[in-house]
Amino acid sequence: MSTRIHTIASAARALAAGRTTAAALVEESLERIAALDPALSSFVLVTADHARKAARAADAARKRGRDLGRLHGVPFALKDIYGTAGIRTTAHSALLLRNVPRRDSTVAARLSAAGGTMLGKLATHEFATGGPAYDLPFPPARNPWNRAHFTGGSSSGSGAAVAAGLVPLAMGSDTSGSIRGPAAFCGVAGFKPTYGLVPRTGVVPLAFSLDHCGPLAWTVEDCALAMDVIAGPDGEDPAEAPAPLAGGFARGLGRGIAGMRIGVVRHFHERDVEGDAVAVDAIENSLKVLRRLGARIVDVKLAPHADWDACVRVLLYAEAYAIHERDLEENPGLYAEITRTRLRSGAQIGGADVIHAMRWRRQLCDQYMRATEGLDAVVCAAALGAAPRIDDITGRPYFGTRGKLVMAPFSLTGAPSLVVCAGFTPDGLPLAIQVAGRPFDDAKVLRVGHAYERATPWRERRPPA
Amino acid sequence: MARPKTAKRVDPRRQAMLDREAAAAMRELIARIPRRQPYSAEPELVFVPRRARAARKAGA
Repeated sequence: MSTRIHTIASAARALAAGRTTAAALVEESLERIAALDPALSSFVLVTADHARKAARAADAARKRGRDLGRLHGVPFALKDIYGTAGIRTTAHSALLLRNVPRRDSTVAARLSAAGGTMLGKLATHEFATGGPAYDLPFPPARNPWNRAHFTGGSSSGSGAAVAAGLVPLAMGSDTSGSIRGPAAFCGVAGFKPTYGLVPRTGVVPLAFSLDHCGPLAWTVEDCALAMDVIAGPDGEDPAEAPAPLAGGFARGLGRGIAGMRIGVVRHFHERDVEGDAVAVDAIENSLKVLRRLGARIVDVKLAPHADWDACVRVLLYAEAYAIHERDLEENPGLYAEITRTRLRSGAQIGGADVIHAMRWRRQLCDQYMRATEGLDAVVCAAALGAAPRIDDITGRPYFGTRGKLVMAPFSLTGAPSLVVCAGFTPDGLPLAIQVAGRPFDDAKVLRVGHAYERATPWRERRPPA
Repeated sequence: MARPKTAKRVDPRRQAMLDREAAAAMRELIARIPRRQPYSAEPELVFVPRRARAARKAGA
């Protein structure tokens, strides 16, 4: 098995310099998947033939002097809610086991058009909400840092596959933390862009007003490179933002953060969410790093985290129930018990509850905009503890608290939000911080995360093979 | 699309118990929502027809 693990940036450099080929990268990834994934279950489908064919085409194009784009010859994989033409797209559910889309989702098409080679489809929690469960067609993904532990969800396979070095890029989706949670627990970079920046066309929805598409990768730089490929309107997503950011996401990444004003939402980790001391220390140490890099840190006060969380979950399950209502009635046995129970909770939400929650959402968003005025970014907790053991979270209650995750504010506001590794517990499990910003300040958020990552040693450590 | 024939039987008594548990948690979330009565039009409660929205965007 190849022990060489590429990032997108390093793979692109090696390909451009002729030190490797797309075909070789695909074979290296397939070898690692064959060796490691039986114990990780991060893939629900490996599309080896498809990847080899795409790699041959990428190599042939390069020989002819044709540059396909940013991902020319770079392997990637998709959470199995991204529609792929002619390739099964299940959302990890028995309900969609025979679902073979006729066309690619916009993101899948853009990644392929930029020269990427798709290696397969990745595990998720059922319909991006269920939770790890054993009554599904595929087993739950395992955390590469310790297979007895949870990956986070719902982009569980995406976090595991990137952390284990099976692919340098995996797409995830985030409705209330589903990119950022797995990034935190698997020790990778995960970016939830501003709502509407990346089209969701062809992606199985969970809650239309909260769903975001975004990348998980080993580094922030890789997330920025992926964003350059996937962002921008496609004319089909009703929530699309008018245009991608001028200048792109990767170009200004290395400009540093000297002089930036960065807010810290201390009450999330000091008062609102009970955290482990080691996770709180990681946040405080991260603030010291940002100060050392020249940023000015100022305190920011928002509504208590429980308010954000309640508002998000009421809206999420109202919308999700509307999507699943008929199947819950007609095919309840095709859902896992945890998914069915969570989705059915949406039936408890009344029309007036939804209207009041929508109004509350606007008030919370207004508050966020006022509190972050004049700031370049905001830092706060991502997960106030390391990944729990998977067996501790697969039982009841199925609809309990969100544990130690701090995700809801940026789901509700649609603000850009990045999770980066911020150290390790004494047991070797990753810790994380979250960097967020004002809507459409995505490039600034990535710049802060990149500067932090470059100033810390956390990217030198990989999970045990 | 044809549905797969792998449905498991749902035990109605167990599901009712799980639903009660989830409903209690959902009620706690709903209870946090402020319920001020809106006597004036608010953005969420206003329907803006597509043509008017386009005109507004264009600065008309």
